[in-house]
Amino acid sequence: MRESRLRSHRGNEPDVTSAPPTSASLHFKRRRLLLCVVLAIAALGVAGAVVWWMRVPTVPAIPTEGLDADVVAAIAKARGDVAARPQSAGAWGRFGMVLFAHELYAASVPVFAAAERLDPADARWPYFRGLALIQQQPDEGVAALERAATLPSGTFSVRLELAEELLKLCRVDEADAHFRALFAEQPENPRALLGHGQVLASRGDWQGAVTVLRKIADHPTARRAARIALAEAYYRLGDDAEADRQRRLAEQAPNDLRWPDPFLLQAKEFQTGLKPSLDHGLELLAGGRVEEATAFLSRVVNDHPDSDKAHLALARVFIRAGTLDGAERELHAALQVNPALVEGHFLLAGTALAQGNYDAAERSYLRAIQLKPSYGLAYHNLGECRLKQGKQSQAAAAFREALRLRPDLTAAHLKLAELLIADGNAAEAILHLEEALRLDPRNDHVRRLLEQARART
Amino acid sequence: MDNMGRKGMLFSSPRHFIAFVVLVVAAGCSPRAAELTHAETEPPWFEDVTEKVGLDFTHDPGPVGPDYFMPQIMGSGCAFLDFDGDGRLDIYLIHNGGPSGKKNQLFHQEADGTFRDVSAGSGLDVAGYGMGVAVGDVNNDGRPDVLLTEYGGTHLFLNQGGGRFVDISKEAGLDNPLWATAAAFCDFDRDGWLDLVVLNYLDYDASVRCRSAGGELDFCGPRMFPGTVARLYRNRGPLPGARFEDVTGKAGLNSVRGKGLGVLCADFNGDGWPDIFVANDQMANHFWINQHDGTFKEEALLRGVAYSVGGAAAANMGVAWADVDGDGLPDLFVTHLVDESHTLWKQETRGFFQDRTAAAGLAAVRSTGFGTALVDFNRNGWPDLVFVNGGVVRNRGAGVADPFWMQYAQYSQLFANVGQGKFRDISASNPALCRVLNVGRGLAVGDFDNDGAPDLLLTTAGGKARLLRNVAPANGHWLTVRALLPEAKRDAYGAEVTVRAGGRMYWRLLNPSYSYCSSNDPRCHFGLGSNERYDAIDVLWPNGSAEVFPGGAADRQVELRRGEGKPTSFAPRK
Repeated sequence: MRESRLRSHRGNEPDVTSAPPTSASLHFKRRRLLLCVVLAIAALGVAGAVVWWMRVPTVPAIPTEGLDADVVAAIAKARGDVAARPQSAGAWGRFGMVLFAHELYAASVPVFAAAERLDPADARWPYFRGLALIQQQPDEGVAALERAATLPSGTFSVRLELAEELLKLCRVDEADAHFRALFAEQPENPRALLGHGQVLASRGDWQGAVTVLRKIADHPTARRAARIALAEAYYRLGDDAEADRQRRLAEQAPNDLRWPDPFLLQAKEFQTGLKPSLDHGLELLAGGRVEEATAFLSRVVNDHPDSDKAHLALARVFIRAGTLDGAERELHAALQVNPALVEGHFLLAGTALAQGNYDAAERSYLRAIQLKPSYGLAYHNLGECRLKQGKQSQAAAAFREALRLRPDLTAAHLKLAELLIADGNAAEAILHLEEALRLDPRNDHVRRLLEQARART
Repeated sequence: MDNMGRKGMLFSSPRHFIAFVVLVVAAGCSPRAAELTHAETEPPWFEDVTEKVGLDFTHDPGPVGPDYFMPQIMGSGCAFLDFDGDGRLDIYLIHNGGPSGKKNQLFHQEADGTFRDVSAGSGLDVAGYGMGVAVGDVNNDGRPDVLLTEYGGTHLFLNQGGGRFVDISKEAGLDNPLWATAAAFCDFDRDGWLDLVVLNYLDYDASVRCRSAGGELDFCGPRMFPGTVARLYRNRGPLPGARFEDVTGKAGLNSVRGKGLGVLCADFNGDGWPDIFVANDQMANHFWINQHDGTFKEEALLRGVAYSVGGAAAANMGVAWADVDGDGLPDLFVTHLVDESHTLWKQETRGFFQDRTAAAGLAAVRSTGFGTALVDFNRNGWPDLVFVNGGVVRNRGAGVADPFWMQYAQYSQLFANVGQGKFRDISASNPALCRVLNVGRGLAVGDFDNDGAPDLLLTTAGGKARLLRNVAPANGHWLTVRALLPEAKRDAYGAEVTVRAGGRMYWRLLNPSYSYCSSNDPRCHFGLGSNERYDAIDVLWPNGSAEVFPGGAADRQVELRRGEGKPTSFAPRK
């Protein structure tokens, strides 16, 4: 329509076949031409400015109320770097990773998008953007992950993550295509095989799933998930005994380790503040790296002397290491910060009990119970403590309360039964021993005691 | 990361504003926007009649402050019940403000459809950290009794008639000092007396403070605390009042700990005996299969409902149960956290389930869902899906200056079953239900105005309870069935009712305990589509006997009594 209008406008121009132009009219024409050129240049300039204006992203402000001072400082620094170098994809990417590392996912999305615009070849930016998006906008998140996976810098782990996210979204066929491509590349890769096996299970191909999943049932990155799927597959195939065995193995297995993801490791480097530090220290402890955990958490305590959680975490490490005096010191420090810290009293009682200081242990257990009346395990331990003190009837009362709160405590059933037998109440003891045996069918001690108690009655 | 961080990011400069305007204009020209506009012009299914009917309830979650006391973010449920037997549903709503907070409220529905607060002196006007409610006639006297769950307690209130209830927990033998959440009555030993399952959530330690990765104080998540054991109480039968025996250990329910939030009692494997499904928060679900001898065996993993596809434990909360695709086998829907898909487990062979969320069109739906229901709201013969949402951690981007509970608020969602178990999001056309930001928790379904169209009662943490009347365009005919046990003088909890009409079979379970911490209308509601008549009604009674009742005209309520139908043989549906 616009083009046709312009044509009709031209039709009204002076007729070139009429009288020749005068010098005044020529001058007028030159001025008009010049004006048109100037206007065109100005328009181009404005258009260029608008394009530039729209292309250079504004550095977003991040709400930081309530965040750790360390985290606020890290955000401010990363944001400042971007403000100083707004055309640097790296600066934007680092800013995004700081946000991502502190779970400020939504805020990180436009930041990674800016990094991606500035450096479209770097797979990290669409990858992080995809991960940040996928939880709440799964379709957009998958699209970003797919883009990352197609880039040359998109690693195996990026494609694996994409496949696993697709599976979580029940987009089974798409996920399987990716899993197949991955294990074509790495035929023994346990996560790719796991995904493929799970896909087969979701399609009801139970025998096929068993064949695939058995291959990776002992791999630390896949064993628990594999055994979960195997248990269901065997049950569907009618092999109840094997299903039960796989279920038990799944229940006993630790959580599967994450497949190494170099991009996520990069983001983790940006974590700061107390919580990630405590998480890291406790991860070291869970991994059995007690010395490293001690050194690391000692530094955390030093940096955060007013944190009851930091003292508590270090106390746990000391308890694991058998350094009870160190544990006591940290527990007292934790309780000085927060006198109502239930776990502090509970662990303090445990350290006292281990050192034979039964009165102190009893006091601390009672304090923990006072603060948390539903604390079944504290009642159980209080019973143990009173047994050590020779307070049989009070111990029995504590075990009874423990069972009222925690009917799953095999040890409390057993201890109470022993006390009842000693008290001549075999009938009630039998009930508790039967219960203990139901909970722990392989406990020979309970079985023998039950037989003895039954013989007495 | 609820509600993507908006504050401080949008319109931080004029150019952002311009960019926003351009985007909005561009979006306005897109087909997607056109679809949304179309969706918004569809007639709504619900209207808010809360004020009109005089239902005045604002949930007391207790004082909010730096403690971030976890029970505050988890409550509270609600109940539809006809406590005086006048044929009109009444309402019980619970508070969560602790012993010194507001007292729970009982509302009686008057003849004109309005609700009158009859709490004072009812016996149900108690205060505590209220979580959930279950309704069932424990002493077979024809009057529904009320079980209240709390953080720190479980109370059974015996209905004495005349709007009076008395707390008989202690003498009845109910002793559960843990954090009780959802509960359900069901006759697991088929002796004619309603037994009781009470879920406990987790072993909470109020002295623990939790922070986000950035260090912000907030409510703790379930992974911070160990799980607990659900309790099973056997009704000892015809004793004065009511007497229960704690059979948790005997039944085997203490063999695994969970973090239970949602419960459903139904015969999942088709052997005629009620089983128990427990939705656990951030743990594998439990599926207790009745062994017919007073014991149960946990088989969630083996039967495919422990985990979602991919093998990860989800934050399982609310529970709904219906045959979404008309294949005669009911399916299970469980609400999850905002960073997970809610899950629809289809029952594909009897007693075995597969995650079919994507096939149902629900995989990309994101919200933190609590109360939920699968009910045929538009009576076209296919159960629709509703769930109420509300965050459990602060919405990222919410400011401390915002009202406290708004920092956790989300919108509810409604999906129309367009046939064969495929769902379409119709939230946009339902502003009364889905365009009110709130921290949704309890949801109960009941036809409070007896017009054959199921209505909704929903509760929110720190906000108003709302009653939403079903005004869906009447796509079809309907039938409401009340199934009764004459000798027990009560609703036949556990009965399975199947209406045959027009060559199709419409299946319903009679048990009001589902959703999240809530109790629903015990009547079975059927949408019959274009069928003006139904051919027959089959009832599988909770004791395993089966009867068939003759057909008749649709668009009415019928009462069926055991013994008045024609006996048929029941074959286990394996």
